Amino acid sequence: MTDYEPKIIAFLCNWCSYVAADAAGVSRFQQAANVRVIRVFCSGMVDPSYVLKAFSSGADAVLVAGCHPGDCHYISGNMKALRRSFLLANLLKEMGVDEGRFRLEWIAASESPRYAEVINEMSESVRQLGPMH
Amino acid sequence: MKKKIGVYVCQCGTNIAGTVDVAKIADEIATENEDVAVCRYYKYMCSEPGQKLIRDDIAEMGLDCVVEASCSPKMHEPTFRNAVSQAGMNPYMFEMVNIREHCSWISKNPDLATKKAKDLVKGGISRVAHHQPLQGTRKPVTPAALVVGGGIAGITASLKIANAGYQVYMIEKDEIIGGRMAQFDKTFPTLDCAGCTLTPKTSEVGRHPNVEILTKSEVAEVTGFVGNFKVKVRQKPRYVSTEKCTGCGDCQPVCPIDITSDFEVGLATRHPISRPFPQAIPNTYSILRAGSPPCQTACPAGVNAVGYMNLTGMGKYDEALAVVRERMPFAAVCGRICFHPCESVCKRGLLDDPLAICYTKRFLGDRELARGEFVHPPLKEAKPDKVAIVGAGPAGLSAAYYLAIEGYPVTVFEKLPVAGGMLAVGIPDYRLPRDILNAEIDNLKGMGVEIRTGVAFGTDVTFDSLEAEGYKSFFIATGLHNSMSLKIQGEDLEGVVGGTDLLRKVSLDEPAAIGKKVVIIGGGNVAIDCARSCLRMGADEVIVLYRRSREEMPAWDIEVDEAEHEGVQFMFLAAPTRLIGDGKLSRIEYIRMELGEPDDSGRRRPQPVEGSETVMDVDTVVPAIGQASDPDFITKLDVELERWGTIRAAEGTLATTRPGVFAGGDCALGAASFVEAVAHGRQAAESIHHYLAHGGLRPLTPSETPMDEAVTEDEKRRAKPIPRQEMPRLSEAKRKGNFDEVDLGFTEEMAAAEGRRCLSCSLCCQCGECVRECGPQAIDLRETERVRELEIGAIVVATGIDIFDAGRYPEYGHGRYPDVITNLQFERLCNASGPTGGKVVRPSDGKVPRSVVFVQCVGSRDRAKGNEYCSKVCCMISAKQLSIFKHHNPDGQAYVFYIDNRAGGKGYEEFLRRTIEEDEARYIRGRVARVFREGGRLVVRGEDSLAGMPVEVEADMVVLATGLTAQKDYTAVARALNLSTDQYGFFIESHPKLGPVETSLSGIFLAGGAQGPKDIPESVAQGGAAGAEALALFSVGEVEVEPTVAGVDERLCTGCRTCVELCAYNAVSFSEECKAAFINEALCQGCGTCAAACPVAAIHVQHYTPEQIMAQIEGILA
Repeated sequence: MTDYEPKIIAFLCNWCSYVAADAAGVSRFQQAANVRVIRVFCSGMVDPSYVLKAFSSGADAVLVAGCHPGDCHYISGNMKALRRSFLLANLLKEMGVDEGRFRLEWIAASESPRYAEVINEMSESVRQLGPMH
Repeated sequence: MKKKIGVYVCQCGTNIAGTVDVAKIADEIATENEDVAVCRYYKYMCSEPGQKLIRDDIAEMGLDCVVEASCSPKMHEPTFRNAVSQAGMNPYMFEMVNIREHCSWISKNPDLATKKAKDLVKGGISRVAHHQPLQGTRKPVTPAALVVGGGIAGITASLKIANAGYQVYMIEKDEIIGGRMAQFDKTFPTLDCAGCTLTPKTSEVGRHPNVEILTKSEVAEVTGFVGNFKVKVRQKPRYVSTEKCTGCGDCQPVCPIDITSDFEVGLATRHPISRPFPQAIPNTYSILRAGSPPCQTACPAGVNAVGYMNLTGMGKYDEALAVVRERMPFAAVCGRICFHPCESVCKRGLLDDPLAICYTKRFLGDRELARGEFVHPPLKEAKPDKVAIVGAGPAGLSAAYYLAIEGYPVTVFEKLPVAGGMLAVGIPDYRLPRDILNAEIDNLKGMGVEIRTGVAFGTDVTFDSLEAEGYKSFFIATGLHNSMSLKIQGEDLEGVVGGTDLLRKVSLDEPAAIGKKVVIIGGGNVAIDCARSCLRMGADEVIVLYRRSREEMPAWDIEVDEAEHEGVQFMFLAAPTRLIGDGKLSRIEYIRMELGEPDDSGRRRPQPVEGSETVMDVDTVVPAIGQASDPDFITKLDVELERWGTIRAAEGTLATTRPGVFAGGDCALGAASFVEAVAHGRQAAESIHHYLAHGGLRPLTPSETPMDEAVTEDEKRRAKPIPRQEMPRLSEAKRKGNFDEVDLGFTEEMAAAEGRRCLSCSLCCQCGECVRECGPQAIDLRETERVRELEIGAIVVATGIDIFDAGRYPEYGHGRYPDVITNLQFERLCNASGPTGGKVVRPSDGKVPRSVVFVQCVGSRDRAKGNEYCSKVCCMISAKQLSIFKHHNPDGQAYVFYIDNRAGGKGYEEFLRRTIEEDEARYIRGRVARVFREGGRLVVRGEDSLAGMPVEVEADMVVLATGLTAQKDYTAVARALNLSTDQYGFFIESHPKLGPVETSLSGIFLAGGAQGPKDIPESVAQGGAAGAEALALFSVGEVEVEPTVAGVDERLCTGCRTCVELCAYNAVSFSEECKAAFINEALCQGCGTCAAACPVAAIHVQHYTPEQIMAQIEGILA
């Protein structure tokens, strides 16, 4: 179990969370190297089937991160992501995916320390959960 | 067909290669992935040789797509897209993978970082195989710039753009431009006069033909994209026309309100009408108003209480009454019977007691009646169209008043023998003496209003008969004069009399047989009025039966209290079930109630307690449970009615369904208050005027935005220590057996004292003193907020900085000791146009200070206060200020407690050195712990960290070098413009070194302090740079719009229209022709919400298709 390195797919919105991820790198905030970032325009663009695809392809967890409510670059795409996330979380639960393996987070461009925190905290908690497959 | 892919991995010197094994990745990718035709790594892929590698491979090997693994695409995606397109490849056949910010820089573990980087590269390779060549479109650029912020950075940007021949809209939140620099006295390191260098710039921009300055304005919304923005600007009123104002200043001395001056940083007061300094641009006066004050907002009629209270406080009673009359024709009546919602929200009430607004208005009305001179505005030129008003109640009479002022001949038709409606026949004399009411009605007659009493509309006169007489418009305001039925057995017995009927009989001196024991049913004001009237008519015992408890009673508390004092008994939680008698009432049966669940109105619903019926002897029962319209009258009007029997009148215009006929007051509203009826009358007058003068309906003038309701420090300072005046009242003993008025009225002194208690929380109170004084008639207090829509090609954001709140260091005593000031306050003390005329003296006693201590880093470099950053300018500001102090006062001594002296900049270090050597300033390295007062002097206690010991310095004045912060309202600006901010609220530039004025949004640029603390030369440089960026756009004249928009596969679309509802840009519609969703590419922003929501995956965003993203996921995890 000690060698186990979970793989986490992170869908980051182009305007807030991806910027925070870049800034976290520029500031050299150390992070667990378990996260694989996929850049999307908006958290509202993340089709639930992408999340399912990630799990079926071997991801141990999926993170969707977007702008804070009210700050969406596309007015309210993040709220649509939020609306969808409840059903998706239920569906994942039905499918036997542990609750902590799917997360939706609001991370503003200015919140690079928080981005690093979320990554580290999520990597660690998924490591505790162990492999999916 | 397999695609040939080229993969290039960048070492970025050691930035990537220091952690990630770039060579290993390149090797493995080349061998493991058969689609990869070539995989290379290089030290700096972004360099020319690096780019050439790619170009050559494309040319020689005929690559179909390229993957570049290096830094963030936010940094170099455009560079590489350009490189591949130079070699003839479509730029969208390229994919960038971020292995620097997301890999090498975040991990010290080479194995894990390398593994992660390789996964990401694999994802990129899988994805790029699904890329399609795409073509962006070119759109023209609107050659006009919006500059947000009128400080030195914004001014510089504006002048650069305007001088190049393009239109500039400069919007500024404040009343003048110039920003912070306008407040400074001198600038470092040359000790140039700030004003002398700034004002030529402000006047140049002010008179520039290509610059339009919009003061008191804010960006409300920005839509569109680079070159094609649509900007909504919210412009608050200046109230003073910049065209007409001559700047003479005659308005200033007559303004009664003093407020703290923000421009003078609290060291002086100003009037709401003012011009901050003589050379200000625009060089005209303007008025500060916070919005509609709570009292005016709460008043249904919108009476300007702040205005007439202040005028009353000045003893200008006629002017005060004129302000009342703008919205309320009946001051003496209103001052007696209004339920004064204004007083419950009065801000003074948050400090001690609210103003006695209502009683003061009564004083104004009574004073006028006593003097016998009716105050009303001059009547406008007589108009020919006659107006008929049906009903002489408050709504009808108020309409008559305002129509008469407009010049219309008005006739009021009243069925009853007296005018006044419910005022005359619904409110007992002891609350509203008839002579007062009649006097105010007579005043209307004096204006030419004809009141014909005893004429019933519908029988004596009709629409047809009046139209034949030449009446062009009608206002129906007949009120609700019938009592609602109890719907129980025995209501037709003798001895049962309806509440409104009883009050009417009393008022008209008709016989109303009241027995010795009276039961009133109901809990409203009519019930209480009936109860108090019965006592006065000789009843021995009066009981009010109410089905809920006292808390739920709709009657006003004061009325209930007075009734209790007078001897009225209350029986709560009881409802009548039967009235018993043989032709004549003798007993009443009632049942106990209990409160159940709350109903729709939020009040708990009463429910009968089974078996609790009780019978009680009674002589008279008065049902007063509500008012109803006269069904015979109202159904014959030939206008549409509401379900509950009132007339349907359109909100905003009060128009009924019959053209030219308007309706208001109780007959349209349902039972409401006097003041609401008056408000309706005024609205009807406005609508009728529109109808007759312009032949149509127009919604009423929008009301002003309500102001913030919290009490400010400045309002506390303005609160004069005067207690609320007590209304003198008739003693209880003298009230029995007569209808004499209970409230005796304020004296002149009491009214004036109340007026002086007003905080004028709206800032300008709109008393109109300045309007009367203004020679060129430049002032219009009725001006309202406007929204301008602008077409803009480029936006420069130069919203500047705010000053750290020194109160967050309570140990330094700012706000507690008057001689502890901030460095911005010191600037105003030095400034010749400042509060002391340029004398550096102590605010407490005006004496010249001999010892001044400067405290550095107040709000900078202090993690505990949340501001970790260096504000950059404070070291130099203190050096400059102590130098000015020494010039003013050569015998003085300056001390500076500093952490580090930061004097990077041309001539800065030399200047600072001179202050030590020539001005003999004593620099003490260390933080200040506390400032306190001892023996009349201030003492600054800190540490000398070089000597390693505590130190105390006596001071006559302490200057806190407060840091620079983001503007308080930065989030509003960020949201309107969609800008990102850092954790301190400063706007984020696109790159800290190479993109200092660009943002992540194409076409929006930053300048000055809004991006981070900086001094004047830097702000000016950035302003110029931002201007140049805008000019580059205008000069090219075209922008390329990315093709990353949504598209619909019509074969798959089922027409469910989920996407139509979701789109925030209204870009998706349903095409009836194709029976499928249709996307307007010009509106689509490419967010992909529709694509994610489409249940059949018929929508995809180009370059972010499901195939591409799925492939990327597979590639990463393979």
